[in-house]
Amino acid sequence: MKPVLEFLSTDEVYEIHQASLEILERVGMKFENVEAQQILRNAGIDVDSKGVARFHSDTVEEYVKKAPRSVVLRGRDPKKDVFLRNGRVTFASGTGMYVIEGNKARKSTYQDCCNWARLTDAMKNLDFSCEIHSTDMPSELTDRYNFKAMAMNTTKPFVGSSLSKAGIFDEIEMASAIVGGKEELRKRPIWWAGYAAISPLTWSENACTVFKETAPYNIPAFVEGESVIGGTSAVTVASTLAQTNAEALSGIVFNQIIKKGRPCILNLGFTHPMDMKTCLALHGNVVAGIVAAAGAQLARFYGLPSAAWMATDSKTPDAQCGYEKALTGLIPALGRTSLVFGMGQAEFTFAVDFAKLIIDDEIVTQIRRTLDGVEVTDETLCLEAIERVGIGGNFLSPKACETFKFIPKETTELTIGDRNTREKWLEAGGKDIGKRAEEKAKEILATHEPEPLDPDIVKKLDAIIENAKRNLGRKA
Amino acid sequence: MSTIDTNLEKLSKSVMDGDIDTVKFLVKESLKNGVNPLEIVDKGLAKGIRTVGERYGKGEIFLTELLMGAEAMKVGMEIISPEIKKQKKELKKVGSIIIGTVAGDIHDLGKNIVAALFSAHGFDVVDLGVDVPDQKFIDKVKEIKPNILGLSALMTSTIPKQRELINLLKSSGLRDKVKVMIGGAAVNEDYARDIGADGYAENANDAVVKAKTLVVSP
Ligand code: B12
Repeated sequence: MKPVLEFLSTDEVYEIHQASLEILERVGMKFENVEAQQILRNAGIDVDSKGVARFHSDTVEEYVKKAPRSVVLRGRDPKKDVFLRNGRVTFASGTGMYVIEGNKARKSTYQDCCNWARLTDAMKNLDFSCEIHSTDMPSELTDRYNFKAMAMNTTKPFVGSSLSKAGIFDEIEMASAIVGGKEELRKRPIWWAGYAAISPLTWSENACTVFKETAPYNIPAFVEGESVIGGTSAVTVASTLAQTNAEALSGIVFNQIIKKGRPCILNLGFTHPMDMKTCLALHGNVVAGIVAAAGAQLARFYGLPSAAWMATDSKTPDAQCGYEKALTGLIPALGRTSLVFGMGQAEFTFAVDFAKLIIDDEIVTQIRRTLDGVEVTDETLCLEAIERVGIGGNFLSPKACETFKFIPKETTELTIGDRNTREKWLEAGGKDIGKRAEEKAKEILATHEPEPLDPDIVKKLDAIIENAKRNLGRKA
Repeated sequence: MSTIDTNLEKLSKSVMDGDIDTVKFLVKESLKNGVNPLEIVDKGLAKGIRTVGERYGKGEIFLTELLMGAEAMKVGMEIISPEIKKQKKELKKVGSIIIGTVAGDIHDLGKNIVAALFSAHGFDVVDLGVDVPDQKFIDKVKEIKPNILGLSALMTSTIPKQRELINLLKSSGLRDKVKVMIGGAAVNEDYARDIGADGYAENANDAVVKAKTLVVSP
């Protein structure tokens, strides 16, 4: 059996679903964008003068059904496309605005973003890539620079952020340039647009705009309820689920109204449990993992993909970092969350650590093995081998040869962790995993070259950025 | 201890517990007993909120307890303020602050917590909300003449606004009329110094403590 961790009974899934519907009818959801309000009204939804939409249960259920069951995240290289299937768990890097080096953190640059993308491209367990911020570039243009850095340095699917309306248009242009035009983009939307509701219960101007402008290209919409638990949602997991689910559902309804059949991801897994003393929004807390796993269960109930964040609040790749990453990775993974972000991330969501990415890749190796569970068949029971080896023998002998083919699947191998004797470990320099991972990251960056982007396309991307710069100058 | 003192002691304890009903009762009771309203504030309400603040600062209590205490204090003050006015006495003004999240940024939870705590500590607070255009900050500073302008920014793409606003205050001839405090996840003490802000705080409690020193110093 492949294990599935469930935090909610069937009845409880239903009850939370109903609670979300109740919230959407009684309190409603505010849409800040006037055009969005009109779109909702035209669809027969009651929107008051303040922009608060109150949804009837049947409307929500009707539209959520229109979201397709199959969602594909597409990469520059079609071989790297990620098909999100029920029960399949995929992994992505984290995001950040600092790069951790040892005990220090410094602001991340465009060059860091390029290197980060290149390193994620090389990670065998990483399915898709998430940007870090080019903070050395003009602040209004960081989204375009991040996009370019990602597009040039990985052929895997990637996700970026859109900071403004002009930013979205430019990103659509950039994505089109890469696949060969807008028509092609509709067929191969290599980029996906994510936005979170402002908890409690608001869709911002920007979020509505991102959803609207990217809809014609069928770009998958990553629809998030992302509360700070205890701050922008009640402190209980149940209430947080009901509220963030209501937020995300209303976003999916909106997306289906503007584009029926648009692929949508229902993400409740980016919630941040607040530290009720320091007020900091935490990420390495198991509560985040529990919400994500339960959120994945709800998403499955609607037949939609889900997401989570494997994270730590630690500042360096230390023991806390390791255990928090393993727990916040494993819990949502066992909950069969479709997309687990956060590889390489540390210090809330502020920073990435290149060495940590290497370590997390190994944590994911172990997680993937756990997800494979126990396969029980006549073959895997190996009864004949047991009989042949007999009492007191061992299973390394040719008598058990038919079992050997299971070695790669049943065991795990480490590439950076240490399973040697003390002597061997000392011989190799007696370094801890942080040090070894740091060296490995440097080695990969010195050698790994992803399939380069066609120079003509790079020129087009540059032209789009140059144009954005000019417009910025004009505005100022 | 006299009953008056015991009542004030109880009052400060009720503020600490965030027990709004008891605070209301004890404030009214003390006024009925003829206790000087300023003394009720000093030995009761203010003492209570100060202790809550200290305990929060030491990490002994949750933010919710701090805010409940603040709310209890506020309710108590609402009953007392008219009495103080009636006696033609004046409560020492703590100070005033205009706060908002800079243009391009919609993060508001932290700013709201900061605003709530300022208000609890007796500051007059004008909260301009999120994504506030530069000119609006400037216009409001001109209009209200607050002691402090608080600028929140959470993203590396929006913190340059804090610097721009300080420059804008300068060019509008307002820089020496208002103290600027900045905060938010993406900024720190060094950055605050670098852009010439008067104060930085990494959380709401520190923000109030810092603000009080800024209001006193010329
Ligand atoms: C919750 C959250 C959101 C919520 C906001 C909800 C809300 N109502 O505010 C939502 C989901 C809407 C959101 C949206 C986005 N977010 Co956001 N968000 C966060 C998150 C996780 C927590 C922020 C928070 O509320 N913390 C808790 C509060 C209490 O803390 P605080 O704000 O820091 O405030 C305290 C102190 O800083 C201080 N303080 C605050 N203000 C002030 C002011 C003064 C004057 C003083 C003295 C002190 C002070 O006191 C407060 C209380 O202790 C942070 C990451 C993090 N862990 O911090 C990212 C983060 C800030 N977001 C980020 C991003 C990128 C975005 C988006 C662009 C993402 C997107 N594409 O959807 C959009 C932004 C849209 C926009 N134009 O602004 C990034 C910024 C990265 C960068 N380059 O800087 C962060 C760092 C996450 C990340 N690594 O990606 N976000």
